Amino acid sequence: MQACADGTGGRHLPIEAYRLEVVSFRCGGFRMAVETRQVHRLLGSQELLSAAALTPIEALLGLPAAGEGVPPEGAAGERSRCQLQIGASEFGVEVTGPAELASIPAASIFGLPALVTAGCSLEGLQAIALDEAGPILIVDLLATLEARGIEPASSGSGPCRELPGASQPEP
Amino acid sequence: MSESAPLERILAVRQAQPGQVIDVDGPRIKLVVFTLDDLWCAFVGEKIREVLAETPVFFLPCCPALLEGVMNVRGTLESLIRLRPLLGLGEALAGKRSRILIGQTPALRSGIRVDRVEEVLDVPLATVHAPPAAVSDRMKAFLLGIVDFRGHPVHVLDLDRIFEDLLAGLR
Repeated sequence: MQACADGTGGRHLPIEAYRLEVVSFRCGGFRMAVETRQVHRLLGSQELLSAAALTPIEALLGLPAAGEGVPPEGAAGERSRCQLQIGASEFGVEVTGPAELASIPAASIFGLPALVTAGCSLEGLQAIALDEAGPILIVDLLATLEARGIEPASSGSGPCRELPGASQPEP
Repeated sequence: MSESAPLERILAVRQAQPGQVIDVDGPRIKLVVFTLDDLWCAFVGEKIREVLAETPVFFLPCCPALLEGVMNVRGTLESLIRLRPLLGLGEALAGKRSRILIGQTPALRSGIRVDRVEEVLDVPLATVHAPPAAVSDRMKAFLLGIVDFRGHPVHVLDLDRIFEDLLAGLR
């Protein structure tokens, strides 16, 4: 049985004892997820974030645009907005919706094979989870935003869902 | 044009011109023999961990064409490469007899898609001939030698070199 460090003094529990809390969404026909600790809020479609300040997820991750090998069902569809928070700065990202909270068993999460690490140009790809429906690509959106030097969006005050365990602003 | 001759004469000629003597007590080598269309190839057996039949393979976006996808092999996520384009061969659909070899070298571990696995051979090292001059440059780069098997020249490929070149090309 595999074991996993729990981060509280080196004690190990079986990997089955862990789960990863994520916000999941579809993008370019693929299932993707980002850790909830990176997502400050999930915004409804009426949220006041300026559309101009939003970064489409496809552009952020380097996925091809619709018509360039992206399945039509992945390119279209409802859009959701995630508001990410790094320190006191907030970033807006528009994803192919719906964005939902999900919990992935740690035993189904895998590190990337060496060839994927070397050859996959999907920005921020950290790990892959496999379930009965196929792969879920777990991406690090914050690192990708930071690496691209994307400016924070101006946050609005409309209806939102604040996520439990999301990173809090630094004092 | 051949000349008819009595058996005694033929045997006398045969005795005077013995064929190549193979030292069957010398070092031997295991080969996993497979085909790609009509091309017969082999990897050295110690580089092949196992042979898989039908295994679900998951496509990943933003990966080079050589990388077919990833698969779960008893709890480990493995990459899967297509050997055909690497050797300059055309694309083929994965048929029912298609197999996946799990190759491992010090540099890399990955699945390798082949059309068919024909045999696992244990042959005297002395039967491996030097590569002929008349092979393509792309094939020559990966060719260790040639073995005759069932009337076919089997191209013994250097998996270490293949994996090293793959990684170098992707980085």
